[in-house]
Amino acid sequence: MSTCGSHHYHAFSLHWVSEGLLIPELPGAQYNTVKATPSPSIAIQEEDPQRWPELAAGAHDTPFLQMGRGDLRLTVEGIARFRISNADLIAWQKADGSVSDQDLRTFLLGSAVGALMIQRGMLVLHGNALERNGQAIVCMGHSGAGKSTLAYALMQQGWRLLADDLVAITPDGQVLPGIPRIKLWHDAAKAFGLDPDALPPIRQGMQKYLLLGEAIERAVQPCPLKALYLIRQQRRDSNDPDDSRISRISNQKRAALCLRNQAFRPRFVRGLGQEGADFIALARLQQRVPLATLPTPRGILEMQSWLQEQSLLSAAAEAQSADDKDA
Amino acid sequence: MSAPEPYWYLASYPKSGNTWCRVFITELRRLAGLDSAEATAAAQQEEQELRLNRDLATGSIVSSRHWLDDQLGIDSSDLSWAELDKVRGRAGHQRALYAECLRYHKVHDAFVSPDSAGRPVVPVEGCRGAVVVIRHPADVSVSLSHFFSWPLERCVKFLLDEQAGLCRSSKRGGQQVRQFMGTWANHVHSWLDQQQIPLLMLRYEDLLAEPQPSFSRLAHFLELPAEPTLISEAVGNTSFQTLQAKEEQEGGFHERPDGCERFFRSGRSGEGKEELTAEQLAQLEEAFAVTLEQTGYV
Repeated sequence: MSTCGSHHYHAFSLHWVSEGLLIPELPGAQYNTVKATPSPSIAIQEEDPQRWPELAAGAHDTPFLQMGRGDLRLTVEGIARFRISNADLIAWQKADGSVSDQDLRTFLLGSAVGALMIQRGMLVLHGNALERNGQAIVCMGHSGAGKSTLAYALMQQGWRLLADDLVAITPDGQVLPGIPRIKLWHDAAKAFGLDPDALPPIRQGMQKYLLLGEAIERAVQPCPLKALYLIRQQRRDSNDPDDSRISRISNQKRAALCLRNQAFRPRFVRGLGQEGADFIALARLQQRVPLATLPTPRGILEMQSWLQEQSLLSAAAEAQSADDKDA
Repeated sequence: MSAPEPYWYLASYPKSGNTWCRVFITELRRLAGLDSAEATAAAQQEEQELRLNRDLATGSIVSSRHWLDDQLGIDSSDLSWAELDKVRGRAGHQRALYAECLRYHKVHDAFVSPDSAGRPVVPVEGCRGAVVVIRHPADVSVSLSHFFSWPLERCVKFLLDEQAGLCRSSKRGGQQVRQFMGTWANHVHSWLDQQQIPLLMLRYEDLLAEPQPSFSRLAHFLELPAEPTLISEAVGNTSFQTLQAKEEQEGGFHERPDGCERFFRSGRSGEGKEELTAEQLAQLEEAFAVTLEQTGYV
């Protein structure tokens, strides 16, 4: 339900102004503090794509993506078109009148916001970030690796959510509080003892659900990053003790490759011409923060009890290196 | 867009020899000196992961979420299966995601799905062709039963199921998207009857019984070196016995996949006739009579 007027939000240490479109997933910003806030402002507004300037074909374009320096166009067929430009504007248009605001927001808050953060020179990783004692860890993994399930399991153990899916890190190594929501599949929600029927689906008819608002304990301040983890599922029938051990990835080349692979949409980074900046940011991060594999058990109960035994703020730095074995 | 890379499909119903063909191709390219040691190692690692992962998750399978997310620019798990099948066929095939020797994409999807509106589920633009590997459905049932740890009866039902697919659940995530297959015959026909890309049909049974001419045809079709000595060396290095021994040696007990005792299990043909009941055999042969005849099984 679009409404008239501007809606103000605060996320990623930025001020967001959405014209006409309510975005309840984003934390609200008090209007009277808005003017006093020095943080830059991002505009989210509807625009007619016909009026967008022509964009020359780029080397990294796909049939759904066109990119140039500082300008990215994304088409989500049957849902919406997006233009993210100038590091401060997300323009959108729905495919037709039948598309719900919720459908629009699903893609706006994922890829469009991610593209904007990349344009702003942030290091954007595909993972989740959690906070404890004012310090952050980031757990990374491709689609289907179990990122959100892990994030929720950690929250149940007292960690607070900084960001899920899309993690933005400043050039000086601070993790920014992002969008405070977790998307959980039906089976994962049930395994956690939640009633999927009582949760809002991410989109009408889908069996993937949103946890937000009071269901989320969130961290609101940027936090220094202490450890990076790469999620790897344990084998169910493994007898190898190494299979359940956190191991450090200390080989520089391997760590660099691993981090590059875990960037949020590496194609955006290349297409937007940010690869050089991103490379430097990754190299700095790699020097500063230890990277390790996180072998999560497959079952949720097993994962919870396994996590209880880990001290994730320090485990990556203390873990034995896996490189000797791999070499 | 970046320059299109030539690519091919290795399309098959699961457990019909797809991985065996890919291992052969990697070995042939290695012997012919077409790939660097690194590229070969990457391809071998890929196959190793395929064999050790029960979810059939590999990077270069066309149903890989990682690849689709990259092409679509979104999280593909935010789309329903029906929405995805409509756009999958237009995902591109630019380089960058795959090493040279991984240009042979494994596919278990049927060529079209009920959700793809008559269009191919897989991209066809720039595709040089599809190798369609088929295997007698009775043997497929036996192999499936070992792979998925399913009773034989369930496997026979699966082959006959008009809605059958892999990774069908929409209640959990995973590294692959839903792959619609339909019945075994539907799957075979969807590939053999399509007119959009060149086709080479290979029967698993022929690869076993007459490896030299069969693998030569494969090499020719894929525009790979096909000198008889090269083929015979690659065939020897990727025989079932060799692959089994390698699996034993490399994987060992500790890394065997969940539930599945070994990937390269027997490789024999004819196990279906030995292990299926007469009734189960009759069910398959009756339901697939036309296809079995067209593909030379009866």
